[in-house]
Amino acid sequence: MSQLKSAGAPRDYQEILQAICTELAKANRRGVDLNEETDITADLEVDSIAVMDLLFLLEERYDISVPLNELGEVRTIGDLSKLVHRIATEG
Amino acid sequence: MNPTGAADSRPEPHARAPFRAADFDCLAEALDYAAEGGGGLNFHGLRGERENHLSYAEVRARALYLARGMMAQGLKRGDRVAIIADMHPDFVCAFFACQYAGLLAAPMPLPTALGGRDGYVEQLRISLKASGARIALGPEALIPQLEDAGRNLGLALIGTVAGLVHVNGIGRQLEPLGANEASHIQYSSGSTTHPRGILIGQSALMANAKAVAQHGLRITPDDRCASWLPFYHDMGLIGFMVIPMSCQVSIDYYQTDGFARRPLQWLELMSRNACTIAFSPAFGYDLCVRRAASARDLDLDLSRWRVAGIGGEMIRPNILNDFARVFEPYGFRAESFVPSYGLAESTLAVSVAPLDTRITVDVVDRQALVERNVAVRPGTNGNGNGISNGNGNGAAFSGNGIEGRTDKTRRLVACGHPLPGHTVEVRDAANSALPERCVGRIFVKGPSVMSGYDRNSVATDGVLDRDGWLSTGDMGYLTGGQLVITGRQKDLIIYNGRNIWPQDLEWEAEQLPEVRNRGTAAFSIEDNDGKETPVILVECRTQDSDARIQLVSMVRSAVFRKTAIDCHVGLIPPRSLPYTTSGKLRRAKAKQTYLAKELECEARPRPGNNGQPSVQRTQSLEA
Repeated sequence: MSQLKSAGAPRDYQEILQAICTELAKANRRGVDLNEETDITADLEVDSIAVMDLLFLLEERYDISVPLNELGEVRTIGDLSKLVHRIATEG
Repeated sequence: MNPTGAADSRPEPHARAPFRAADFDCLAEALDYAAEGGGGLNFHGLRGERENHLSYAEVRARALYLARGMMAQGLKRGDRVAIIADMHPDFVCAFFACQYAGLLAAPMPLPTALGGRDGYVEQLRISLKASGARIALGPEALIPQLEDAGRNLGLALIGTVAGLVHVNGIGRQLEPLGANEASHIQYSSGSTTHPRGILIGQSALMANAKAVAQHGLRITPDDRCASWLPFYHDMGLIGFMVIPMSCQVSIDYYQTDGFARRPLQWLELMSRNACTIAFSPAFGYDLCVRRAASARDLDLDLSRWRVAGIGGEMIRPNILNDFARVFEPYGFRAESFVPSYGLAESTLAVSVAPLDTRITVDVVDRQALVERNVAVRPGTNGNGNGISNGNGNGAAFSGNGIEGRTDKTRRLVACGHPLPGHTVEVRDAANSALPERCVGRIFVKGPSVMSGYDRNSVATDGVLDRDGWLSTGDMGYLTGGQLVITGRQKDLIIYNGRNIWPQDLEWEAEQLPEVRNRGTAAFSIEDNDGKETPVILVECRTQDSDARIQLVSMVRSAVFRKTAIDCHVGLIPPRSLPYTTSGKLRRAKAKQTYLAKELECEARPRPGNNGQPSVQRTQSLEA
């Protein structure tokens, strides 16, 4: 996963992270602590339809397209936030 | 949302050459001919915008160029080329390059799971080994995975299709794969860990294409196809690339992963381009219905859609009814539904239901089906093997949806007559042909049947006899010459002498609002005496003990109420059921993992816990 590069990145990154946490909170019935380290599939047990719905929402909000083949290395909320941020920044 | 706005220009498919409905001896010949017309391929991005257009002439020109690049790698005729089946022009051109170069393309799947990189690399590696690929091609983004997968396998090249372009291979004469040779290797059969490559012959491929084009779908020059089906699956590769191309008609592609997120884009694409033919497994229609419920300002014209094909999994009529109800206001006609049956071992299609008619739902007596292996009208479960003249039908369904009435019946969808030149036989356990309405193992014979699994004569001998009969592994019956599928042979549960289709138990469990569609798997486990105990695994999101105990009890009682089967209910995490790459539930794999890991997933009283039920942390089935 690529690292943050641009100077203005952290603010946007935090916003994306927050948005993802807000959405995942709706499915977080076990009350797992949601942070960058939270494993989306293992800790939250989110099903594939919910993942697709989350991606749909993020893509609409940030006007991006997340290629599915990029998701293979996404496990944690932080991974996903970085990926979305990178794609949004690259335009 | 739609950068292109206007409809894509509609080429005249027969502008320069007369229409030919897939009557070719080999695939290269079909593309040579299509290249003389005006048709081609349109690839659309996630939001439906057109990203690439290639006329068939351009596909051919690029394929010829790439073919020389492949030959420059020092490959022998018939060597294998693994190509990750991305929905992109590069895949299509590389696939046809193999045809021109005399090489066998082996389309490879795309990754699908969140966090699934390691599993994907392993899956690729197994397939690369099994196929003996000499070249592995893929999109830029997946080259690291492809390199990991192909390490030390002695490949001549791992890289992108674009990279191949720069290889200089001039001067070699191209000898396309001919009528008596193989065409490619299809990996959509078998599991991901033990993939079975199916050697698709040119003659089988073209026979199936011709039968589907001329008889099954009656393709005309006015047709235009739309597809989100992946190219690594036979329905995507053959149904929605080979066949339309062999009829010189244009195709609109929408990304498979886009479809999962935005299923309605599939419909919008068809609306915008006046597409007439599209297929999906039933769950695709279901996804559209779900998304339409929350969609605003849908603006669709589906009136041109004349073939809404369904294939790839058991067809549940209620899903199609819902789809028709939701999309009829947009011009969709229920007469467009075309159920079909097929399998990759018979190239693609075995039977296609009649066009321009509503689906035929066969309402049969569940008890007779289970206990006597006969498909008879409800209310005729008396003696003998008598087949009702249909009088029982209305009675059983007057109470449509009322509990206790419909549970005595099963609603099965007829999948049409076998394609011309093909014969379907339903046989009993002793291999004797059965009369109509008797349920047995389905066998197919005809020009579309594969010559065998690739480099696996043991597996081939297991399904193909010396007379050319293919054992499909599916169970079903014939009625009026039409084929009806009831389930998979190997998944059959035998309980107290009764044949139980796991689909039945799953169906009942999935009727509960708490249980997700495709979120259950039923099978049986045997004790030492061979006695079978039915088990149903149910994906469960919540970790709340009380809710879990309640769910187990609800599922058990729902299944028992409807089927009189007292099954053991196991709760497993969401997403943990194993599916094949083509989306079929792998019950045998689920069972195997269940036994191996001795999943302690049912809420039950445990010693040392004051008799209170406890819930164990569950394991994922996909290790």
